[in-house]
Amino acid sequence: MTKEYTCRDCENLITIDVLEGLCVIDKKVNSIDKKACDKFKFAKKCKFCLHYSSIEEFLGKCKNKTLIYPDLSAKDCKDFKLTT
Amino acid sequence: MPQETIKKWKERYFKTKSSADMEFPYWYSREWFENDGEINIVRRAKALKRAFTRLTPSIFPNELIVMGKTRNMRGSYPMPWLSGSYFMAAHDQLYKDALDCGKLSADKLTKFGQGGGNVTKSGNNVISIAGKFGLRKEELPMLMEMVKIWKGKSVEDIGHKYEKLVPQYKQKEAIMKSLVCMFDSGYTIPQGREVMNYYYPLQYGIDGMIDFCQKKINEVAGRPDMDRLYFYKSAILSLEGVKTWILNYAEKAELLSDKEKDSERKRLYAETAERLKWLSSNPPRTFHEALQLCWTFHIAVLNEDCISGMSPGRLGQVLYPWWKKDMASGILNKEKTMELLECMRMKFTELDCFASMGVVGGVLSGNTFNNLSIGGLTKDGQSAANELEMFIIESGMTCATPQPTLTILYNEKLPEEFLLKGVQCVKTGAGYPAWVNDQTAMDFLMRNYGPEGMTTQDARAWAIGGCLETSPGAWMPLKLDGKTHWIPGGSAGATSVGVHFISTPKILELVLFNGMDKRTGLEVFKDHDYKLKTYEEVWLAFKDYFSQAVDVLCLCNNVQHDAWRKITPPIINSALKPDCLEKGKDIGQKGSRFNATFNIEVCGGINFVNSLASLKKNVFEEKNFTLEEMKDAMIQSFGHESKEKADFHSKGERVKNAEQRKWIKIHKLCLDAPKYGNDDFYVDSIFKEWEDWFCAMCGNFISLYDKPMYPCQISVSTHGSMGAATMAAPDGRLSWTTFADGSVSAYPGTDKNGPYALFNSATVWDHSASQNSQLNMKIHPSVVKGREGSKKLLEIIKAYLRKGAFHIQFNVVDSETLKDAQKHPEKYRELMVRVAGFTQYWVELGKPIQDEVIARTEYCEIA
Repeated sequence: MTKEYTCRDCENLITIDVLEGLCVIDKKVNSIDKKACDKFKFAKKCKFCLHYSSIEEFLGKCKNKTLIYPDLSAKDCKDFKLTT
Repeated sequence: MPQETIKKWKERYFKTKSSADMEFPYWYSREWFENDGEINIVRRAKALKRAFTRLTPSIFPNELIVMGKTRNMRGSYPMPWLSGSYFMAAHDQLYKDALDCGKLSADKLTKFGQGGGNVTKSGNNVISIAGKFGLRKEELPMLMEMVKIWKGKSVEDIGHKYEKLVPQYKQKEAIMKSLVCMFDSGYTIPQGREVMNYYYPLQYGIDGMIDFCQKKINEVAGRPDMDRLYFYKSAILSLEGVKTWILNYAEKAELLSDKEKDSERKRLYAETAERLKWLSSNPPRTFHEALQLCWTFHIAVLNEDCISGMSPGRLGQVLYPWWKKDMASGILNKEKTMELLECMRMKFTELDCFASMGVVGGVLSGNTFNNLSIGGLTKDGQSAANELEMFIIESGMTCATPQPTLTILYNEKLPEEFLLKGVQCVKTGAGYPAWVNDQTAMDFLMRNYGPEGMTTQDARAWAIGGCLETSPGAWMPLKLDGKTHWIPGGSAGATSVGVHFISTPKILELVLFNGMDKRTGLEVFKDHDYKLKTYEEVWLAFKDYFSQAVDVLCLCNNVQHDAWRKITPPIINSALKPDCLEKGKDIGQKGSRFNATFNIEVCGGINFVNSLASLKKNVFEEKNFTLEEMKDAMIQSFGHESKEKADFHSKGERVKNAEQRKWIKIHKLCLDAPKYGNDDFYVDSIFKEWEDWFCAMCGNFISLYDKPMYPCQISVSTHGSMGAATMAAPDGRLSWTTFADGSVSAYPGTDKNGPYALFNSATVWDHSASQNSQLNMKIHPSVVKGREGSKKLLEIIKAYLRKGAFHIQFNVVDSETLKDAQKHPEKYRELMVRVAGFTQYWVELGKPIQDEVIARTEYCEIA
């Protein structure tokens, strides 16, 4: 998997806390900052969306309009378009 | 031992950190600001709906009861619409402003536990907030944006703007800065210290509640008192949010079931999905479903406000009809019952409350006070204890966790077997159940809520809200399979808001120094003009200062709570509480059945009383030394270095300074003066005089809801923080050290005549005149060993409560164990202790409270 992605960006992760999460594939509790494995699947997050533009570190806009943050879940967003 | 699955869950919990995230605050704020101009309560409901709808669901393995406040196991989040000042970085002007008006004084004197799930330091991409909560660094900029967006619009800011119009406001600032008062409640923990009412969702389901509101809208639209229309609309919106939230979890469970290879787990996920789908619309059919729905609404309420002490109340009696039915039909057995109850304990233990450091650390010690009451009486006055409650006690032993704590509503009609089960649980060292006097509570309730129409039958529906707040209830007619069951539930909003903790030793200190606070250099009160030539003059000056403090704090807190009810009215909680739905009014508009719910809380009463006894004897009667010499000794802490040098915050070894010899005699006379807890009339009569006066004077102050206020006498953890702001006292207590805990517990080591002498001292006044009293006892495990030990323990509980006392609770623990735990916390992750109204993991307590628990008198015999 590409090195810049970590488990916290993976759809297969269930967050436990700010440090760890449970992988639903291998059933293990891992650091969410661990480098992603080959089962990595993009979580629907604003930062992976075509409509996201960064305005400063960890802050961005949706369609150049609405203030959002890159890790915000876009699971229920009908306009979400994966860019990566 | 807990079930194997629960054991694994618990092990996971011990490794989990308190985690905050921005999901709920982001969506709430976004929706709020997109609806500028909307009717306020509807605007809030829309914000709540969107936030609930967008919460990411997490389901962890082995959970039979699912759903959490956030996606994190110990999840919580800031609510900048309530308060923002404590998020500010130290360099920020907003933070400095907050310091200037005394709002952060308690935060500065608070120490969190350094272990367990507390995120005490930043690192590993995680920011520590208030030494307790971890926030991913990627979410910090959005938190700061939210805080800025809400600046000038939050409950804290609006309340602050208007409280300044109270004529004595400047005095209030000095009171807060000097820590005469612990905290404001309007924007910190505006709800809680009350009992949930699960009746409506259990009886009608979410769709039934929505239908009810829709019918009401048809009745009230366009009619006078139009606020009802907006309330019903808001209730519908909020319930729709909760419904979608449940369905999102159902979808997650389905997804997990699809991905799961293990057939047993696959089945459990699928059943969870089916259960949640059903409950998103309908009332429960089984015990399991009923328990899940209670939990869902419990956290739905916790998510709508910053809340501590939202107690499940008499949950075992609420759920009993389903349990009995399922046991009879064979759906349920004892093992399954225990597994579900242990799951429930884990879910409650996962709860965190995100409030300021001063409140979460200095008051709550990280606890959330979900108190489950058992026993008491039925509507028609018979014992209400049932078999399910026996299992609830059992699960508190097999799965010992801080939440929910248990309280027995002790009544002479309760069966011996039930009481002995409670004693068996106490002996495990869990710190629960606490024991409270059913009759004394009901006497208080009738006195306080009688003017609002409370009957004796109503009074029997009471339960403890929060750690020890007597809270009114109501009997609700649950219809199940053609039968009517009268189930109890809460019938009022927060029963502990108003004046939150006045430090009585601090007020006495200010009396002796003519209103000047030596620690901060502030003039808190104007010169009282008494020469203090007699003991009576000290009393008069104290009453004067105390009354001034209550007056200004009452007025300012009324303003703050008015801002709260206008900006962030409670909607979900109101939809559950009788009679809000019937009246079309939320709790803030007095929609609840009972509304005389504001109180005045005090702390340090025993140190204050002991100090008065010492002054009376040493200064005014025997003239062993002058008042000026006393004051000098206080300033010098009787010749002892500050607590930092000793690093021990309670009574114990301290570093003596070069001047110490000068103060030895005075210190000894102070320590030798009569002390509360020994059945000594000299000091007990002072205690009675204080209690009689305090309990009566509270009624002179009027709450936001236009009702007289009442006294509340618990310490929670304030005896640590408030002691840290108070210099040495005439009772011999050294500067900046912790007060006695509770309200009728003796100061550590000063109760020397055994438990019965302590009981006599504690009951010289009428406990039913107060919302509560609090007595903590530490007993060495050897004393209660075996069956004889159990009987002895039950005997002393009965002996105390039969004197009309309100409450007693126990730490059955060896002090040596606690000392070792302080040295080697890594070996004691599971150790729990009873503090004051709550049980907490030792490693998550701040050192001042740990020191105080160690220093408490350890009873090695109780006969």
